[in-house]
Amino acid sequence: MNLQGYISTGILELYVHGLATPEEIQEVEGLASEHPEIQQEIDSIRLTLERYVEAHSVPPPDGLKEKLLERLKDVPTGREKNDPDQPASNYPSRNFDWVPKEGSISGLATWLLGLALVAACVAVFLFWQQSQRAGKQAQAAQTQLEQLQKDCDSLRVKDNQVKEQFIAIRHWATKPVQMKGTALSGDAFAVVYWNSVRRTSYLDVVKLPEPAAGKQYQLWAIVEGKPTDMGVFDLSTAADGLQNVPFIENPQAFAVTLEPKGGSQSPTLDQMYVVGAVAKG
Amino acid sequence: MHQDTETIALLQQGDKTALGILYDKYGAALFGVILRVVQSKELAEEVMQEAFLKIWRNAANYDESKGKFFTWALNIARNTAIDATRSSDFRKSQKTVDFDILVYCENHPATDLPVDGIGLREIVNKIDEKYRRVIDLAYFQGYTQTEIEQEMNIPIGTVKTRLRLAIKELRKVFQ
Repeated sequence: MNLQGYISTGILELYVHGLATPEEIQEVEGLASEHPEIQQEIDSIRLTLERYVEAHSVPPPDGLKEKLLERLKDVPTGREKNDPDQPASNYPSRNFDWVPKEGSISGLATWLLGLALVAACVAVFLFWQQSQRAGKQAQAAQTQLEQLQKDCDSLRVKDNQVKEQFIAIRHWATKPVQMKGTALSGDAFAVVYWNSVRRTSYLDVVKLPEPAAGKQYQLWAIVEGKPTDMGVFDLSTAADGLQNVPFIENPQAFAVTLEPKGGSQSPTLDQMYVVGAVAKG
Repeated sequence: MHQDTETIALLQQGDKTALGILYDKYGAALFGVILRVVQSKELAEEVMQEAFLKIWRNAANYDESKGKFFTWALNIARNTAIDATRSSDFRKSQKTVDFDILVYCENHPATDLPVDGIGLREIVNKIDEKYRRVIDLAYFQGYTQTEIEQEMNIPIGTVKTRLRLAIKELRKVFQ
């Protein structure tokens, strides 16, 4: 066995300082009894440590010795061996793993700190998750709100239009001019609300047949026997209610003809679907 | 320190004077150890008496062939002190006396240890703190390996190395 190598591991220092495990103690003491070299090294370490202890000597307070000797009166000296107070060995090893010293206290503190840290992380994550969720909800609510505002705006616009039309129709100067179906379509029917005071005209298409492909309906006013163009219209827009149409002075009649898409300069008379004369006065 | 064969023979026969002699000779060293362990002057006085009562009661168990008296007494003092730190009373008091004990130790330097007129303690304390600390925790505070590893945040291999270097440095001082 390489004794020098064994000595240099530091195991003997552990032993003398009381840090060796029971197995190590057994090993060291076994080797020490076999090899004087090891025993010498142990003694040397112990002596060094004792010198270190002596270097930190503190004189006990005055009177303590007297107090001690006073107490000895009642205590018999231990002439008998194997007193329970006596350490089993002169150089016992101490391994108080169960003693609550600073080491284990700080171990507990570390553990608690770790626990607190984990709890904090979980809390932060939960808050983050919640805020994410809240953020998404807020965004959805915002989108919904914007949509509702748009809807509301368009309804308000429509509402105003309807109110305006209603006012126009109820106006005392408004003349409804009914246009009845011709031979082309007997049950066709439309009305022009004409108001010379407010100078407005509205077209109300009640019923007209669906136009053929590439064709569009065109409204005409007859002024002094001559047709005047009032524009083309689609049935889809006409279905929404009254449409604003140009105001024409002194109309004698109104008529709707079916024309090529985009309208014509003059009406195609054999394609007249409805017509109605303006009542005098 | 020379052998105490005669004094111990008297002690083992129940001679109180013998205990007084040993107290005078080793009292300061033992009180220094106890004070370092319990860190309280009041508790140290209590432990000191307790330790000498144990020495008195167990004198017959001391075997000079197994080692020096000082080594034996030192173990009793150290163990008694470490045992005292286990009590809950100790936990309470320890928080408040740390400063007092430092002042107390400063006011009672080990003047009876001459090393060319300079205090031995000062020389010893010049040794790297990280080496001394391992000795202090293991020897004076009775820490276990695991506790030292935790306290100093070093593996047991490093504890061994540092203890060995610390002893080496101390040997140089005491040669």
